[in-house]
Formats: sequence, structure tokens, C-alpha cells
Amino acid sequence: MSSFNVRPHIQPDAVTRLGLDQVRLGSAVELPRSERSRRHLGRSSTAIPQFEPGFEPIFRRGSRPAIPVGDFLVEKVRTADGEAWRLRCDAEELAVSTAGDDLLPWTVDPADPSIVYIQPGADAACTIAKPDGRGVVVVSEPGRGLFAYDFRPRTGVTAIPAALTPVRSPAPAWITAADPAWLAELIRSRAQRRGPFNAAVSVGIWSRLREPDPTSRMLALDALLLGASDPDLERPHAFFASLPGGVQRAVLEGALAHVTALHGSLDMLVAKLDLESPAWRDALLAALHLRDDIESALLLLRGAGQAEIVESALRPVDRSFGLFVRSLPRPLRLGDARLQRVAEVDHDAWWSAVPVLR
Amino acid sequence: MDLVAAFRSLQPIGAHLGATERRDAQNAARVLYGTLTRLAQRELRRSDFGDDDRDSVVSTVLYRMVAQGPRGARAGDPTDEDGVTGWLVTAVRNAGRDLQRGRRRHRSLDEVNENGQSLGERLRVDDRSAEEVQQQASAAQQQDAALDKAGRVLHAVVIPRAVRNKERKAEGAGARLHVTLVELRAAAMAENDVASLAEAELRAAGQPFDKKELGKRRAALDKRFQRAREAVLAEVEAMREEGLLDAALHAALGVRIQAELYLQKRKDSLLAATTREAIRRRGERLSGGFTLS
Repeated sequence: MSSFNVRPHIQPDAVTRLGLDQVRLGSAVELPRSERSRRHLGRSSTAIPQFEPGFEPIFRRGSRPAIPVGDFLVEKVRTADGEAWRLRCDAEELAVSTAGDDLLPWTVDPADPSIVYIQPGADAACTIAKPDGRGVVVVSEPGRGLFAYDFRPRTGVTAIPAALTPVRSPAPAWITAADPAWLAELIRSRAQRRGPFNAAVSVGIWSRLREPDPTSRMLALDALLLGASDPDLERPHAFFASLPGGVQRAVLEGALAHVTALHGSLDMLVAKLDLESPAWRDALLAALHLRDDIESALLLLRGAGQAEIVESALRPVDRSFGLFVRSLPRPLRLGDARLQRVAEVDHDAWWSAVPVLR
Repeated sequence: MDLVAAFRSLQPIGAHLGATERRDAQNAARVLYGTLTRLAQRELRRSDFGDDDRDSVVSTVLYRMVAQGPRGARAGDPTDEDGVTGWLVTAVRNAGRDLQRGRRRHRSLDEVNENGQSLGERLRVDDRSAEEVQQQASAAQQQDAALDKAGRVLHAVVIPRAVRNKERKAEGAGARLHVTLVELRAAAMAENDVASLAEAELRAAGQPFDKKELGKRRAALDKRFQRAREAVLAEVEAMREEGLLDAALHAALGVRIQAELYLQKRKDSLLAATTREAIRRRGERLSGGFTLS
């Protein structure tokens, strides 16, 4: 065990970025990597990981319980995407920040904002802080392992450092007005999930998939042809522009994390191809929805000129997944209104190419 | 502004854009509006499309493009004027078809159109002009010629390339792909489905009908056929990226592949079914055309 105030071995700029030079660090707690966990993975849960609540702890009865680190309890759980660490505490709101060369996917439990799931990368760090300034930093140190340190403010200052990313970014209220009813319900359910990425997805879905009445459409196009703005078309981009930089970055990081998840989905779908299996079809449908979620977030990122890194990461998986989907025998009736609508508004979107009920 | 630039620059105008981007978005809208109007005139000439309908289709397509914009750089996006035009044509046709479908849901045979004719009367009256008939016949001939050419390219170029690529990666893999494609094509032309093929395999192996075994064989066939199709589709995409296929040939190849390498449970693709019929009429051989070399 490290002694009090020994810093984790991460890059100095990451230390600064995470505000760790402003806090007092507690003792290091090593989070064990579970060698046996692979055998428990990929059971029947083929859903794309949205970190839905109810994931099972990997440790069986009689083995390691949750590990206390400061005010947090840390335990390893099994998700459809592999292992993740669940951190929970008694706060109503948490601020998350990441640093490091590797991607570090994280999300807040949609049902409980005091729970955060993270998947540590090979060389990455993540801080999760409470409003009182106390929190935990999880550091993956190459060659050494995975460590968690609790921290507290050096002084009585309780404000969350500016470097940290507020987790809650509620979606705007205007997106709930949409036709038809299935679209309104889809947007509402996405907007209820916490986190900047989910808020961006709900706004993107609203913009991409709604069909305004003919008069509104004509007025919008007239404005565009005259070089003027239309309130409804402008609204999603104005919303994204109004978000703090850290929240915008969280959307981008969320999109990248979901691109990684998409790669994993494709591998699984190819390996376990079984067209008659309802579980396989569900997994395919979930993957297609995941791609559409990414496209919805990309709408906002493109408008802000921040899409390049996500598009670059997407290109290879778009090629491979597109080929795979087009090679599936037809008809493969999934009967999904969302994908049908995507096919209407974006006809060369490969994720809408699986024939749907019309 | 050229069509490709317009395709990429179209996006909603707002405070989030600089002056140059706003100007580009406006110019892009104008270029695309003009192109879509022209394409709608050309593609939706049938008598059940009036001027108002064509305007509605143009505004629907343009609005959808703006709402999704800016386009970004997605894999497979058109990169030349031909490709963008093809993209727009598809969008116009789809929107036209959706407009008609929406109408059919609400129309009864007794409803009258703006000329005072009921649908029932119109179905009995061929009110197409001679020019329209001629144009449709000419379009059908062109389509036949394109599908013929696509068939030759598929069997003489695409499939041999795919087979050779597989063989390079693993000895024997090319031959296995070749055999699978022959089987797949034969099954598609005979309108078989995977379940029937799996049953036939069981019978040929002298095995009793067992649901579990049938399921296993069906799943194995699905996998084998899916991988074979993926290899062919990958080759088509590679050739398109190399600039060997123009937009029309690429589209025609898609139709040939759908007709010859997909097993249909129902005839829900009229074009694929009619293409298969045309292939049979011409007596194209099943096993000819692709060889390992």
C-alpha cells in the first residue's frame, strides 16, 4: 500500500487537468484484475452496453465484497461489454473527468446519479468528485495495475474544479414535441437517461427523424434559400453551442466509447450468427440503434466542427458493418419504426438497410 | 459551387456558423434545389404525379438533407458528381414512392382526382401519353442492357477476383468460395430457401428428420452463404473505390447480386424476381462465367 499523499504515476499535465495537484490524496487501494472473469462473460446478455442498472457483481458469494475507497464503494461488475467498475456514494450529483492516452468509457447509472461505471483503459485516469470536493481517482498504471485513491480538498473550498465535467446535462424541453407518438416516446426515454451523450443523442434524434408539416418545411427552406436561419433547424446546434466545453467534450468521449462498443458488437454478431435466434436478432437491432445513436450525436458534433475524430474512428467499422448487414439474407424482418424512419430520411445509412416491416 | 461541394456544405444556418459557412450553406441549398427540381421532373413524370407533388417531393428531400447536415465524411459517401446525382435520384424516387404510399392508404376506388375521374375509372383508362410510354419502354431497355452488362461483370470479373483473393489468404478457401457461390446461385434461381436446402442435406445424408439437426444445418448454411455474399460485396466495394465501376454499373451490380445470391422467402423484390426471370429466359448457364485462374 502506498503511503499517504504519494501521487499516482500519471502524466504531469493529466495531474493538473484532473485537479489532483489541488487536493490531498489518500492511500492507494489496488483494484484487483479478475483473471477468471472472462469465463463469466458473454452469457446471454447480448445487448449493447448502455450500462443499464442491475449488472451483476462479478465476485461470487464468499469472495471479495465492494471495496471502500474514501466515501465510495467500488466493485467490479459484469456487463455485456466486459468488465467495468461500479463506484457509488451518497451524493446526488457527481462530476467526472478523464485524462490519459487511452479511451476511458464512463457513464452514470440512468436510474441513480450516485453510481458511475467506468472501464479503465491501459493508460488512463478518471476522477469522480462529489459536490463537497471529495472524491476518488482511478488510475490504470501500465505495468503496475489499477489503483484507486480517495481525495479531499486541501482547504475548505467545496466548489468542483473547473476541469471536472458535470455529469448532468439535461436535454432541453422542446425536444419532447415530436410526431409521431413512437418518436416522441423514443426521445422522451432517451432524454431521461443521464449524461451529456444521452442528451445529445435525444436532441439529434429530434432533429434527424422528425417530419414537420409541409408549411413549416416550406418556410424553413425559404429562409435557407434567402440565407436566413430557421428556428427549428437552428435549435439543436444552438443547444450544443451553449454547452460548456467540458460537456461538449463529454459528448465526444461518449461517442468514441460507443464506436468502440460497436466494434465489439460486430465481432459478436459475426461469431454467433444465428438468424433464427431471437437473442441474436435483438443484438443486431441493438447494434443498429447504437449506430443511429452515434449518428444523432454526430449531428451536433459536425455542426460544431468537432466530428473528425469520431468519423475517423467510425470509418472502418462502418465499412465492415455495412458489408456484414448487406450480406445478410433478406428478408430479415425486424419491424422497427426507428430504422424504417432512418431509411426514409437517410437512405444510404447502412444501419437502415436491414429490411424492416413496411 | 459544384454539386459535390453543395452536397457536403448543406446545413442549417444559425448563429453557430461563421459568415463563410452561412454563405456556403445558402449556395448549397440553391444548387441542390435546382438539381432536385430537375431530377423530380425527370424521375416523376408519371400521370399520378402533378406539379404540386413534385414540389412536395423536392422540399421533402431538401429539408431532410438540411436537417441531417452538415454531411460529414461517412464511409461510402459519393465523391463525384455522378455519385451525388445517383444519390439524389434515389432520394427523389424514395420520397415519391412514400408520397404515393401515403395516398394509397387513404384512397378508395370511388374517390375522384382533380380531373373528376375516380380511381376505378382511371385504372380502366390508359391515360399515359404516347411519349410517356415510349420513354418508359426506352428506360426499360436501358435497364435491361445495364443488367446484362452487370451480369457479365459479376461473373467474369467480380467473382473471380473474390475467389482469387480468398485463395491468396488461405489455400483451398478460393475453391470453397467458388463452390458456395455456385450452390447459392443455383438455389436462388430455383427460388429455394435455406430451410429447404437444409432438409435436402439431411435427406441426402440419409439422416432422419430431426428438428435440432435441421436447425444446425440451417445455421451453418446461413453462415456459409452470408460469408460468400460478404466476399462478393467487398470486392464490388473495392472495385468502386478503385474507380472501376461508375454509379450506374454499381447499382446494376447490386440488382444482379440481389437476384442471384440472395435466397428469397417471398418475392418481395420485384426487380430481383424479374431479373431472375430474364436470366432464365436468356438461358444463362449456372456454372459458366466464373473460374479459378
